[in-house]
Amino acid sequence: MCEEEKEKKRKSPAEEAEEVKIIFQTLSKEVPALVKGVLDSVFSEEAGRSIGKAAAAFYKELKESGMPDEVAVRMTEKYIGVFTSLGDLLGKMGKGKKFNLQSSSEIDKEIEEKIKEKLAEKGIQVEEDED
Amino acid sequence: MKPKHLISVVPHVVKLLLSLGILWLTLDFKFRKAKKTFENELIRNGVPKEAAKRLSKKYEEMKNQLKRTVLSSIRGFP
Repeated sequence: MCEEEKEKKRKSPAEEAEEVKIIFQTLSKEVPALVKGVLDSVFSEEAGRSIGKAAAAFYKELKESGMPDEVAVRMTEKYIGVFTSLGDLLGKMGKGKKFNLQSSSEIDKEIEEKIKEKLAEKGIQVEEDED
Repeated sequence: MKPKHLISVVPHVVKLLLSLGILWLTLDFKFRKAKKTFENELIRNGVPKEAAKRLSKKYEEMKNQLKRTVLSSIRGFP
């Protein structure tokens, strides 16, 4: 009985080929669309504009709080790095590592700490968030 | 699987590779436009030109890093 069921379930080569064909048909449609979407989220005119706006606001904020030019630029570079850590993400995926969302928040924390340090050096006190 | 079955898959594989190839080839063009917009947006929002250029170089670095990652994963593919 069990053998009979197995025999029924076993697919013929033509059926298997049809399945593989459907898989590749779907892959050839979906994969390019997915890759395009991921790339457009970082390397498109719209993305460039929004990242530029955010980076400029960040830079201006640093300058207004009295940060030296060099430090402000360097910190903004790091800030952009957070936006575009796509390469890092893909690298980790390629190596089969789990992508850890914490890594970007760690950078955020590091940036925040550096800002606080610099502001403290300048004698400006920062209000702590009470969440 | 017989060879005649394999042949039915070939067009889809070719389509997939072509689409990915086109995406790869247009990446630089898309990036140049994005970089220009990025730089203009920085300058428009009050960032000095020098700093904007430095920041857009960082943006470019990200693209290069992405390309390197993709190429190295292709090379490492068994």
